[in-house]
Amino acid sequence: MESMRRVGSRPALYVDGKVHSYEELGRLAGRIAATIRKTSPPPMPLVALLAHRSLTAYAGVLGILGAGKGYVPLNPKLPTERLLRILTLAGPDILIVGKEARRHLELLLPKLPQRTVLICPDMEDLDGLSASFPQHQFVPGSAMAEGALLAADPREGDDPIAYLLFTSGSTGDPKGVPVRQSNLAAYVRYIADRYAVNDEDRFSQMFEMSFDLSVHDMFVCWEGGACLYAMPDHTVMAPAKFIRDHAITMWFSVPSVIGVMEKLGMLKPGLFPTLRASLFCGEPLLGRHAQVWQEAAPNSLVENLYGPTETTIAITHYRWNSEISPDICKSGITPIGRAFTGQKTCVIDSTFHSVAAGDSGELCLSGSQVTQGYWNNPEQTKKQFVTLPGAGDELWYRTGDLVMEDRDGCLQYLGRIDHQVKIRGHRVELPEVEFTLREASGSQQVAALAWPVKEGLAEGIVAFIAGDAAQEVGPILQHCRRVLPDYMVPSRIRFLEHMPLNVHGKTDRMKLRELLKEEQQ
Amino acid sequence: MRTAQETALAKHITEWVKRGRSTNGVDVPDFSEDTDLIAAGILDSRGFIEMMLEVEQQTGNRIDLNDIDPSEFTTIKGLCRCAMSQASPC
Repeated sequence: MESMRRVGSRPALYVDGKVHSYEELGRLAGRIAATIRKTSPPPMPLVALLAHRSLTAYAGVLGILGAGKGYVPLNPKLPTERLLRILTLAGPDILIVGKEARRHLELLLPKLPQRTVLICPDMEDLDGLSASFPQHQFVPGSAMAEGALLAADPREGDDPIAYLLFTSGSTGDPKGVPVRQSNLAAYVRYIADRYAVNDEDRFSQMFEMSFDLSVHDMFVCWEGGACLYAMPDHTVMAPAKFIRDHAITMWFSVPSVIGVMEKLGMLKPGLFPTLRASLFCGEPLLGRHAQVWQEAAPNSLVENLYGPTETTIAITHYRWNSEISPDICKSGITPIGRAFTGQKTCVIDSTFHSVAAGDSGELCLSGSQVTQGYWNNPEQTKKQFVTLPGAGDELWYRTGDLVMEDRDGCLQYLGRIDHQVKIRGHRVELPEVEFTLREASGSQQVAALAWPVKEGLAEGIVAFIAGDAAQEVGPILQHCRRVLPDYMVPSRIRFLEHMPLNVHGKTDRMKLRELLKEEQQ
Repeated sequence: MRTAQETALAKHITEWVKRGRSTNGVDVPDFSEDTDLIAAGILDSRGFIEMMLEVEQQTGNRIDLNDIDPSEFTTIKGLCRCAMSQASPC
């Protein structure tokens, strides 16, 4: 928010083909903040945001924070039932809506769990909605409060929630992760300083707002007075032309983007001369991909970042070095490196004691970026946020990631210790997919598997349902599409007479994988 | 002006996409040669790569997409046009 005053006339945001200055962005954010503050009765600590790659979306984030509230991003691409579930769990009574998401309102409004104030900065004609849904209040752009340029909320000694994100949960409900302003500030300051972000930089903005890596794009960029380039949806899969046309200097994406571009024949040596930092996060980065990108962006440092949503965007890093890194990669995967300065890592065994260097164990994280627990979910909080023997009261987050720390303190990612997988960078708890399959099919014998897995990266999900081979695939998949994000919907369903079980009486996932392999041959 | 070859290629790819999407017995959403297949959720990135490989196999040419706006090649018509005009920009 300091940048609003420091570099007011400089470009802050490129979206929908237009450039907006810090002053313009700050004025709209200031009006949103003032409108939130004037709402009566005083609003809840969280405000939801239903907007996508628009001026309203970005000003909405800043306006909500400026009002001292935390934002709950709602991705308009998610099924309505998923959005309603998030709204019910988060409980906000104000919703900022961008005109690009207006069509969702007809479906959402009748089912909202409580009276809601809808602030619509880029909409005017709301009489129809107002008449159809008198239980809610609508504030068109012209009725918003006047506000000065956005300024930080002056409350002291308080640490409000900055944002609440929902990730896949193993019980069928998404899990809310509240990240506080102190967590976010620790991340942003460290990263902006590490990469010497300045007002000449141009940041890519590829991630959806419901994905926490988008928080990096926005706040690291604006902390340094740089300009954020929101990538239109159609450029996300093949972004080469966008990077070149806008002379992007700071790149951040999931590693699978490199794989897609490589397969499309897009990555050539020297292709991206303007890039000076290329960061990858969200899933394992293949060493081969890091090298291909390094050659395409010869003036850029290439870094692999790692971190769960619970520890604020990313918390460890590894800088790629073409000379030595290929030999350090384990099974072709780039190390996740060391903790950011001021953050801590610990690798533990099943008794919560540290393992020796070179041994594998579960990665635990602690420090100013680590959040304090899940949203209204004490059971999951107790399970994942723990104290360790001999480490006093310090709270550690158990990642569920299996790692190995070498003698130099460099961490290697080895895999998961549970049934969580990553699909295109998104965290997916396979039990949540299985829960939905049970609901849809009525069968208790279901299994979801990440498949195919190529070079350690899962490309999709295949489902197995046993017990009633006469079922039709269509209605089951349609139910999944209604309640799950697209990356969690199985690409295929196989019916079995009996679910194969292992000696412990549990689903034999090995056997299911063999079935899929046989099918492939 | 579209050549007969380009029209035939687009027809083949349309059928190829329909076949690939209907293996689960689920209705394929309506689409035409002008539909942005990514935006419409008909293909994901893996599906798009497979479609491009099919186009390359049919034409015997490698397609260079680097300087082309993705909005031009995420439709069947646009991709086939690019594939058939390798010598000049799409």
